[in-house]
Amino acid sequence: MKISLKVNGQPHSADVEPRLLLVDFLRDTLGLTGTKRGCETGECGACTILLNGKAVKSCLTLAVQAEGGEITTVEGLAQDGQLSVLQEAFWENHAVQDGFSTPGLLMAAADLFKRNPRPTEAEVRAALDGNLDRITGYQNVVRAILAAADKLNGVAAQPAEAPPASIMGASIKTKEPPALLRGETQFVGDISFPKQLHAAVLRSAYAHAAIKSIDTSAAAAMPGVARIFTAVDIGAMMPLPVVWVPQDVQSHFPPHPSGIVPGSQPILAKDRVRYVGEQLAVVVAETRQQAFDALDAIKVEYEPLPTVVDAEAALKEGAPQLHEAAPNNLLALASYGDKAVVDEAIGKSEVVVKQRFHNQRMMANTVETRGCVANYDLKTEEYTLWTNVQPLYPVRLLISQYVLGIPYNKLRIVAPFFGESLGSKGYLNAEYPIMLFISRQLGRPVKWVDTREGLARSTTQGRDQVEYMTLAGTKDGRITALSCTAYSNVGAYPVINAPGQPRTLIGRSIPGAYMIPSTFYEVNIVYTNTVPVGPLRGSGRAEATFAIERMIDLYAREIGLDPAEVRRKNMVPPDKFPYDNGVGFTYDSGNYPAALQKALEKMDYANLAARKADARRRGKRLGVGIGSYVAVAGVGPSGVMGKEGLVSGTWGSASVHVQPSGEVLVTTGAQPHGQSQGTTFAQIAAQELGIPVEYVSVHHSDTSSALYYGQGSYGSRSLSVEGTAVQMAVQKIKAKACKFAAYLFKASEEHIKFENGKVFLVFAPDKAVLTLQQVAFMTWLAWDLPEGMDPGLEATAYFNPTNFNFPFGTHIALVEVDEETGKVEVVRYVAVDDFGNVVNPAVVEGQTHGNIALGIGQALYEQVVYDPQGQILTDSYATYALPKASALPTFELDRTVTPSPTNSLGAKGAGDVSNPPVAPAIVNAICDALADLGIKHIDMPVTPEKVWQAMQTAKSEEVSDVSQAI
Amino acid sequence: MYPKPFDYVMPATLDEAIQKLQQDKAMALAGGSGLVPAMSLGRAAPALLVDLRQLADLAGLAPRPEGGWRIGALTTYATLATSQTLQENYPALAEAIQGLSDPAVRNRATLGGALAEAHPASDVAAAVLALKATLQVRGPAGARAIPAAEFFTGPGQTALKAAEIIYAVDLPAAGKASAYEKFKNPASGYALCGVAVCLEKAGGKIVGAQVALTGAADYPQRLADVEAALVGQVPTAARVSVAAAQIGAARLNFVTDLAASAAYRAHLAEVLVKRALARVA
Repeated sequence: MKISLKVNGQPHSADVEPRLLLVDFLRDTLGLTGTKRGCETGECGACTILLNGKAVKSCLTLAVQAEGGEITTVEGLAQDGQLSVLQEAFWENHAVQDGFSTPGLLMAAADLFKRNPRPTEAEVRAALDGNLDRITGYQNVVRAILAAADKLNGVAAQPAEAPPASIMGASIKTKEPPALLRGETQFVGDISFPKQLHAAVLRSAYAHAAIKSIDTSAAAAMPGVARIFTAVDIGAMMPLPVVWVPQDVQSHFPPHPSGIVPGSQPILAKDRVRYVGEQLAVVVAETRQQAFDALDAIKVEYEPLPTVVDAEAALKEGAPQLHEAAPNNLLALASYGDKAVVDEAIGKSEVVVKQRFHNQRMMANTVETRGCVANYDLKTEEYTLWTNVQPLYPVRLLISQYVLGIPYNKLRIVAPFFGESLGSKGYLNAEYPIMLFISRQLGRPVKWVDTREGLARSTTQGRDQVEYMTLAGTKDGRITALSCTAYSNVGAYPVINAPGQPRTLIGRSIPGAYMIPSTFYEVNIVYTNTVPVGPLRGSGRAEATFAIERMIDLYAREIGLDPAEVRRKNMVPPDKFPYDNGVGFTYDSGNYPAALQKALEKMDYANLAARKADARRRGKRLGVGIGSYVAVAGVGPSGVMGKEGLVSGTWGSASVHVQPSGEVLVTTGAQPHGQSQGTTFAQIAAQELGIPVEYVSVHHSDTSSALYYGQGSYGSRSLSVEGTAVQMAVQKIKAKACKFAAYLFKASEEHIKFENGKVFLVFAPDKAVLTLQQVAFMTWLAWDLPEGMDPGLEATAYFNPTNFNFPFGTHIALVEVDEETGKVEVVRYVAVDDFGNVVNPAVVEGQTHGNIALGIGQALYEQVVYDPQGQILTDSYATYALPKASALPTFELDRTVTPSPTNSLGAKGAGDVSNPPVAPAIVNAICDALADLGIKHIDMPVTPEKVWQAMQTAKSEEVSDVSQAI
Repeated sequence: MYPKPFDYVMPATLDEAIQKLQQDKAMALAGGSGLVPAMSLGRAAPALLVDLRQLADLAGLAPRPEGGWRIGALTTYATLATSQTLQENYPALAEAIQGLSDPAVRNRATLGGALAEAHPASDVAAAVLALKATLQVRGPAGARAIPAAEFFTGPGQTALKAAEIIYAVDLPAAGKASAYEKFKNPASGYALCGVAVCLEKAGGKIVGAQVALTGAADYPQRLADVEAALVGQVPTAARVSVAAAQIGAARLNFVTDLAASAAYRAHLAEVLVKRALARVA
């Protein structure tokens, strides 16, 4: 039916199907892609717009319902090209990271201002209750909205702190936000090409079944369907490969026809499926809606098989078997440390504390789902894939060599601006190669964007490890030994780096920040009928840190010492670096007790008694909990990673061009998805060259760039590895400029200096001087170069570090537990982190906010739940709980600075390392609040019901204790 | 993922809407906040959607000649959330709406739409039950009034007959001493447990008490045992506790699901009854 309406002041008329959602009308019919499609069911708020001046979720609204209305989308907020006050405030306050949720947050704030021009912080947080954001922790968003309100109300802004003299260390505004704030930035779901087809994936309805038949005939006859692909249609496509292949233990992977690397799941399942969501068929149609309509018409005949979803159960005799290649579902059994030595130490110890932890399964549940557009160009015989994947070059190598069997040179991968990942976009998934294959088959571009339900069934999940911990020590608080036996659930198939997390990342991190004379770690890595598991922000280190930090508190309580004191006593002292932790990591540098002390002071830890008493009067129990950590970052040293089993170089690289115009172009192997390397790497180059940061552009995220190879961004590696390569490349350029100047000035090189963008002779700095621009121009002309010097002013540098770096810190949480309901509220949160030297403090603050929010999410809310048949029950935002803005306090951040000796920047990782201390700090705080009831541990997520049950049990035990005494 | 195809009409009058709703698989569309996502998820597949938005006279608040207020069924939550009238006269309903969902949803969702949807965890359902509201409906057989206590008949079930539309919700004059307490499901934002109470007092005693529960049991309902333990009593803290404890005696069908067990919901119900009553007693 015909509708007419105004959008951003422009009249539009269109003939629409009644079932068309307003979000799809705006995005697909009008091409206004600033409004995002996140959850499709009204929870995430990414599609928020103003309809007749009021915020509305455009996925909850039919286009026909907007007939005659006036709509404002994010594209309509800026006037005459000028960002609005609100948008400016988002930029100024570093409220934009990946930016996918930004349009919805802006519209929610615009709506709030109409209702309430002077909101309080609590009112702002409440106004954001319909908007989810997995990255910012909402903190800078809230700050930005309050700042905008002040400005709109004529309240003078706080005078800005004087900018530091150095570009390094300055919280300059990042470059990416303006386009994101205008809704102009294209994410993968926003990309469209002429003649493009749309794909939808049919996923297994059973967690374990034999496939008897797939009948696509009815679906193939549906309107708009171009073709349907099942396993029999994809010819010689190889299964997904695995590139982390432990050499030191027996490992059991599915086979791969290459004979070079092991295999994982088939691109499309043929005769058997092993988890709910495994891909069975792809429908390709003229529109996305037609593709999904046809999906329902495919008939699959399943023969259900017994399922197992739990790692410990999967190892038991008689458990359903997933892979012929893996008897007893065991992918690998690996250990670090000497069990006999540790057992002996435990046997001789004064105090032994034991506890089982389940670090529950989580999912990133990013507001932006995975997606791609694939195109095969008949003229050039080249494949191009636009997709939101972190390791572009590795995925290019694997798809070309180990899946499609096409020349590496014929595959280009481009990552458009991309939304939240939390690590969940760090893999090779089956949809990418199959869409490339289909594009070639059909000769048209093919677009696939996942749904919320699809994400829960197809995107790699995280954590899911059970640990049996034993900590031994003296009565006066010295730890003597630590032992951990773990069961890691990897899901139905290994992801490309599956063994990395349970082995290296958890196992070698298990002693935490402490000097422990002997440590043993043993892990069973186990297949189950669940979605594959891989690293998720904080990965490995989060599991290890939780285990050790909880054990420290249990130990402290056992011996009656303050947990802070036990930490102080056992932390690696500052004079012991480099420190070998006994299970394979050598900590680079640190002052762990200093960060602990700073956090304790900030929390006023010594003076909480009065607050505790006050809380009790209000029916609450106040608890304080510490999470100290050291987290491996900066992958990394390629040789070390090779010994760990990773078949991939992990060095960093950068190519820096000083263009004939004098501008500087940095091409990096990093792959930003909210971390702002486009700004921080420009800061590094500008600082090193002594030029304004505006002269530097940063190029990334396209394998057709001049760079040889890029590892991408994950595991807090970008700055310390890829950023160092930028600095090294610039240093090469400076050396060349000096050499050229020496030649031109007929002087010895030792008398030439490079400073503030100029190269000059030290004896005549005003006369014998060239600007960087002049050097670039003259070396480009190459009329007169010293012998052996190449034309041009450019350099490429590689950085293959010799060690990882080890950021550290202490977080402290203050929680209140409701006596009656068991509900936990985080009332204060202090974080003191040490990321070494920091390039842009506001950027790492934003990352820390995100890490804390995710950690609180794990501690209190998040959990993927499967039923015994392997059905996933948490496949929406309405069933998978996340912390919202109103559930979080304002995080109080501080830092200490201990430069890393492993790289010339002195940088340590920051992106995900401050997540690991969060969950243990929260759970320690809860257990502190409940300590007098004798409650020692509650597994995550610590829901109100679990707390209530623990309190009930404790109280009834108390009663029975009393009655026994009588 | 996408709603299934349907026909769509936008009648100009209530009579026309009732007539259209008599077609097979026809459903009424108010704000759409509940129905549209249900269609996207394939949980609702109407053949005809009857959009009520042209029936503008079904929105707004007006005093009733006999006392109390009438709320038009298409009045949005946003309007109600900021209504001074509601806050002063019917705190339970105002609080139920303020603690419900988020601003963007409140801008679209309507009181009548939510009552007709009869979600087992509907906040407003508890409020209208406690406030002894009367739902005014019209259908093919004419108009009738349904007391809230008779409206919710089972999980997702109401006393509405085919093609009947709620056009107004009438609230009696007494409602000032009312309150709503909610314990949120952190994922969906719905009530894991919600309790609305409304008391009438005379001579220092409780002469009328309505206590309604949502989210915790299989559908929104009044708690007769709790009410009986209040009427005729002096509203002390001790009496409130005794009354709240009657929840255990009530033969309610508490729900166990992903978010909470029946036992915990029963416990929450008792706690929230106490808290709500403490505010109005």
